[in-house]
Amino acid sequence: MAIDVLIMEKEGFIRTFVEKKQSVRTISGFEKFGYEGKQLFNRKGVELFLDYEYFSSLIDNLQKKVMGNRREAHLILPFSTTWYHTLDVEEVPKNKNEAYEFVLWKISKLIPIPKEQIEIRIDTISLSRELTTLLVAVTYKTFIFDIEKCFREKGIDLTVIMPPTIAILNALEPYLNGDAIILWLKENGFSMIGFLKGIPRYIRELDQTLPLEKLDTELYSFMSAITKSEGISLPERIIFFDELNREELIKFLPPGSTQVKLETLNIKSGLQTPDFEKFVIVVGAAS
Amino acid sequence: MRYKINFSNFDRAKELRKRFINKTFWIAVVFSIILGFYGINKFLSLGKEVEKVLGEANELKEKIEKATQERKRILSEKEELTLKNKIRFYEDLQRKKLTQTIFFNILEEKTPNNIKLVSVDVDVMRKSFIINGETLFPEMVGVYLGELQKVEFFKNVTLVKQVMQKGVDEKIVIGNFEIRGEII
Repeated sequence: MAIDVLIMEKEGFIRTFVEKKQSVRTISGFEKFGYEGKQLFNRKGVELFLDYEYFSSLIDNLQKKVMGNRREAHLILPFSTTWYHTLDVEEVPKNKNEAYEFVLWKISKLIPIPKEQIEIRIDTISLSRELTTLLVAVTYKTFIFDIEKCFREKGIDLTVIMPPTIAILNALEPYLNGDAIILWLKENGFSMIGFLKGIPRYIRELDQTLPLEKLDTELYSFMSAITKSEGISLPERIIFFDELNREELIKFLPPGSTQVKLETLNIKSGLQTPDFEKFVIVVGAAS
Repeated sequence: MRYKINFSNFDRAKELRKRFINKTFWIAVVFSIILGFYGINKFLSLGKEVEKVLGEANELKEKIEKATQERKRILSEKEELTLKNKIRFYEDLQRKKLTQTIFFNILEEKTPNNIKLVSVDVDVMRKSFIINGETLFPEMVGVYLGELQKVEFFKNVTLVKQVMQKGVDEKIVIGNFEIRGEII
């Protein structure tokens, strides 16, 4: 299986091509579209608006330059356009619509966007006799609708639209074998995941520049929120990944923190680019 | 893929169904076009056939017209009159023959053996007859005349002439007679 994967960011998107052969993911292609100082989307209050014309022109370029006649692609949403919740429930309604209404009722008060703007996806991540754990992701309905419409008009079907943190979790599969705090740092923001008892129980995304000096504060406030909520001591393991590969990062992290090594993720690529780390997310979305 | 959160609304099954319907639609369109072409062709060829048949019918009509004209030409008024005259002539002839046959049958029936007819002259046109005969029994002539006068087919039957002659031995008397009459 080979697929074009697009990483959407504020100023444009990056296109890569991922092929999976015998559990090894091969990445080829690296093209940037946009990044001309214009923004692909804007926040206005509690709403998110796509610059439809600009986005459409970038898709035109994408088709002309690299996609050709291929009609399917995967897209990774920008950071901090999605909220995550885990819900432990005794029973989930079997009917899809009822399940949707049930989850919406449970979490709508926690989501800072109007109810009619809420687009929910549910994934059952743990199933026992007593409890079922649901991972719920929420995003902006019109934002997703506009993105899909824009691609569909160009004849491209987005078969996967995935939030970046879910892609990170999928890419980090070899590391997910015990309680841990996952810290993913990028140039403009981060993603933190509290991975407890095999479940990504807490997820937080931020899309603003975070100086390293402030990182420890953010990290510890996140961790203390977890300990307070769960009534547990902090997980000893911190798994971290820095897209900018900053050596001084380790100083701000607790001793024994584990850095994600690309070679353990079964990724093959001949690409030489400072943006290579982003492809780990790509692999997560395409695996 | 361990975590399957996917915001895509793309439904592959629906898409496949849509494509199938789309394909079916286009196949139907192509099929309809082919069928349409076939139909038009058939219609045109049928039209040609109809035209041909109509042409033949017109030719026949023309032939019939020609034949009628020809017939008209053959049977002109004069010719038709001649034909009518001929028909009348043969009808008359037939009637005459019939009259003659009837006359001679009556004559044969009414003439006794002892009367010998010398000549019978029948004019069917004038509807008259003359019978000449002879007999060794002259008294039979009157009887014979009476018989002929009884026949409904004749009228005005009269004995015009009767001559008695003695034979060589003077004993035998030969009677010659002539009877005239008309046929109704």
